[in-house]
Amino acid sequence: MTRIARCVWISAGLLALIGSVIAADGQRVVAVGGAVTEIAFALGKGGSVVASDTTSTYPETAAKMTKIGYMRSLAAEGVLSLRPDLVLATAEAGPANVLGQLRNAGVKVEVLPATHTFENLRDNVRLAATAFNVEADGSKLIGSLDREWRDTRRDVAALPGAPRVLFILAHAANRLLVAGTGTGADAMIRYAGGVNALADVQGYKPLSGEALVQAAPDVILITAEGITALGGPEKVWELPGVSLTPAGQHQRLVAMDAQYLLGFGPRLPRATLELARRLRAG
Amino acid sequence: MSALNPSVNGALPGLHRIPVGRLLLPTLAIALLACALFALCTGAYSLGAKQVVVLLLAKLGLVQTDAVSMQDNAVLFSLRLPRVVFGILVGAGLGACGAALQGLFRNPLADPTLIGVMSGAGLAAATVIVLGAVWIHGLSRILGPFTLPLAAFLGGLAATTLVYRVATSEGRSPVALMLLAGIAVNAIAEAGIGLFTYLADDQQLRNLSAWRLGSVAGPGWRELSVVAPVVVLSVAALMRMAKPLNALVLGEAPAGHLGVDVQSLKRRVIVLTALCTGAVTAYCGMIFFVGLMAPHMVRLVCGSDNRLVLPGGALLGALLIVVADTVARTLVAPAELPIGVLTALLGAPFFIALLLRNRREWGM
Amino acid sequence: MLTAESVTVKVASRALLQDVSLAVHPGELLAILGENGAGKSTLLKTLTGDLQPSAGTVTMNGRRLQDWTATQRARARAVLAQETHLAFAFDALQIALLGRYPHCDSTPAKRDVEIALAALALVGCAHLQSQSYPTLSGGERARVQLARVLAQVWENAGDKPSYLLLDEPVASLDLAHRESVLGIARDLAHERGLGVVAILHDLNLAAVYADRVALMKDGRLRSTGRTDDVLRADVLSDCFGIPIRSIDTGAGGCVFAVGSAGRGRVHYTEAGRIDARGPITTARSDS
Repeated sequence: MTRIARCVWISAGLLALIGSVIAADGQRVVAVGGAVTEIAFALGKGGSVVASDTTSTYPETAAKMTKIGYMRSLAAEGVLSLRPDLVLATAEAGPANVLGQLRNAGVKVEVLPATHTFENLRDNVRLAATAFNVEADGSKLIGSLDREWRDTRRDVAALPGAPRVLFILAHAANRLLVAGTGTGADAMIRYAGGVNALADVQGYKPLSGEALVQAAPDVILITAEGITALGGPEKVWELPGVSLTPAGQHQRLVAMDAQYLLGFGPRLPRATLELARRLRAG
Repeated sequence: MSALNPSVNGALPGLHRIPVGRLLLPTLAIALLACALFALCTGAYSLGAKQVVVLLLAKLGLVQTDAVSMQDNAVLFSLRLPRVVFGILVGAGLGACGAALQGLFRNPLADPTLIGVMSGAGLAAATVIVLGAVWIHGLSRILGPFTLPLAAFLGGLAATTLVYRVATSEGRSPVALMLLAGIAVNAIAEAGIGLFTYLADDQQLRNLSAWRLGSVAGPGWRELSVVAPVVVLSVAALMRMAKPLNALVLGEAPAGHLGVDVQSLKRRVIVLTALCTGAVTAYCGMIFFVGLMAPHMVRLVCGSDNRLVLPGGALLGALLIVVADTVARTLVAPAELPIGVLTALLGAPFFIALLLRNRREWGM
Repeated sequence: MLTAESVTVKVASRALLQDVSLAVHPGELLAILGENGAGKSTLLKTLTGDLQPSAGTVTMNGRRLQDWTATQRARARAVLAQETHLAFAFDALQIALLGRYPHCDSTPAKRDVEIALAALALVGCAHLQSQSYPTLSGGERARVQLARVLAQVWENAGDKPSYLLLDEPVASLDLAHRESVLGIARDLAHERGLGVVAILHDLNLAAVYADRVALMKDGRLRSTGRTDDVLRADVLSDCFGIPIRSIDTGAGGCVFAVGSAGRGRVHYTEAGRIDARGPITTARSDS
């Protein structure tokens, strides 16, 4: 073993040791849901988080920590094996009976509502701060979020025009859904001063080429993961009907990280402003 | 003619299989017990054999121990134990139902999916998941967590009843007609599930797909107190069908000539299977393949005598589910794999290997 | 005695059987002959209790058939269909043991196994007992099935006679096996007092093995009686609607041939070799 490798091993061991000391010192928290994890880190309690779910991709520390699987298919024993004092979970987490089993095992389970509004984010920060016993830090975070949000709203309002936007959800190349009203994507498009091109559709629906042409979006919005699933940005224009829309004719495509765009976490003001600018760019 | 006198020289021949058969059930039972104990001592949560034994003895009041942590206790008695027990019930139920249906339909491909139980249960579950909040709100408020399982059970029974009704005329139900009716009912149910998949919002869609993947993690003791009596009683009743099902191997008319009341046998097997599979499916979702595989594995080892295939299928089914679930919850800990995926993944290659090795002797 | 009295069977107002009266006596082999659609199988199904007659009664040992339970019936009579397809691979002994079904609990007793083995030995299949049924040849399968029905009526229920009903038992068999199956059935009738009914298509086999013959046409019993009395060229020609003549083989036997001699077009039925009626005790095995 080379010296460098040994150094790496030793420092890794030390880090792990420090990490476990910190965790043992305070609360041991399992965070479930990308926004929840982001809020925990924004409150400065990232060190207490011992594990998170697969949707927790930000910040990088959260992305790299122990994963308990997808937030909607949690395993009670898996979570308990991390010996948490608190499970801080989004309302989207489940199955419901697993949360019940965790409560029965004496673990405090705090569920944060998940609606697609800035107000919901404020509420969640307050709830999380209370759960972490850092109400003061919570108020400070809410204050700064409020300021950021006010500025964002002002900047968005100053931007010209209201582009018609179509959001495409692509889990796999052959399973494409488009976002109607009542979806996170719809909320983001409206926050960014755009118009959802499929406002007369409810929820996520399968893509039909003809309906797409009828919707006539100026811009296609998609997640970075969606681009990967499709196999590259140029594949978007090969989807049925897309090339016949104004967006297709002008090759207007905006791709953003899914958790950033749709997470409704503390990065919401930044994401909103970035989306608003990019929808109108080029 | 001397041949007319039943005198037999020497030992009773033809009983060369009896030793295998005699050994099979005890062997399976012991293996199941061992696997169940192993499953109790295994999991993401660090709770080893020693602690498990102490906790079990303490629970039985045989040992006084003050060093019992609440979480250890909860993990063993409200997570692992109900899970292992439910796994045994699911596997035994599906294995016995598969064996009985294969015998009844005289079709080696028969399993609980065939007569519509599973897809009927699936459609009912989809209805509850997607429309539940709106249409049957009052009902689900009364029934609480029992809404989904109850609906699945009723859906399974309704589908099976429909299949049986369609296929029965003048008191007879030819198997071919019944298979076709089963295919039609399955198609209707699948179409219904497809429709609900379309109508479902994101959350409902995920609940739906989770249910269809199957899991034995769901039920606690309260749910088990509903499932266990249903499964135990129907499996026990199915065991009693071994003798007439053996006669049925000759066909319906020859079985009738041997004194079997074929119509009544059909009715009993179908109701029992619907009951058992419906109850099990309601809580664990769709677990395919065990009902098909377990009885065949028993047949390959010790022949087609239903007196061995029925109990052997039940024991082996239970064994398969317990093993698959143990793997499912430890392989990617602290997360979990869907058990339906694992039963197919573990079982199918083994099954194919057995088929390849035995296809000639098996004569099919 | 197994008796049908003025039995009529109607399906959708069409009479399949019309006023048929027939008695099967213990100790005899009764052959039912007739062209396709004459009602042979319907008559057999009425005798087994599978079909309820629209009019008339069927009695077995003096008691109406519908008053018997399925198990009681199964103890007193066995039925062998043409061909049996198995869904699962049972071995020959297991098949023969199924014949003991109405007599035993869920586990066959030692006595049942002995009887099944003896029945297999009787049909010359003792060596096949642990062979898987699907791997047997057609002739072996037929004989194993025969062993099964023999095991079923091996011992008379109480002191009452038992019956064996065979629906074209030799249809798919080669010459030698036809002889052996019918020979065993006839010997059982004579030596054990079993009442045997067999639907046959081959006039010559009937001539050799049947004690009595029932000739059917258009759902009615055309004539019934001792084999020699019924199987006459003129009666047969009339019944089957084609010219049939009998050829004397010299040694007291005869064979029936289809076609009229005058036109020189003689088509022999399958059985070319008919000897004097001696008991055939051979039960040779297939190779």
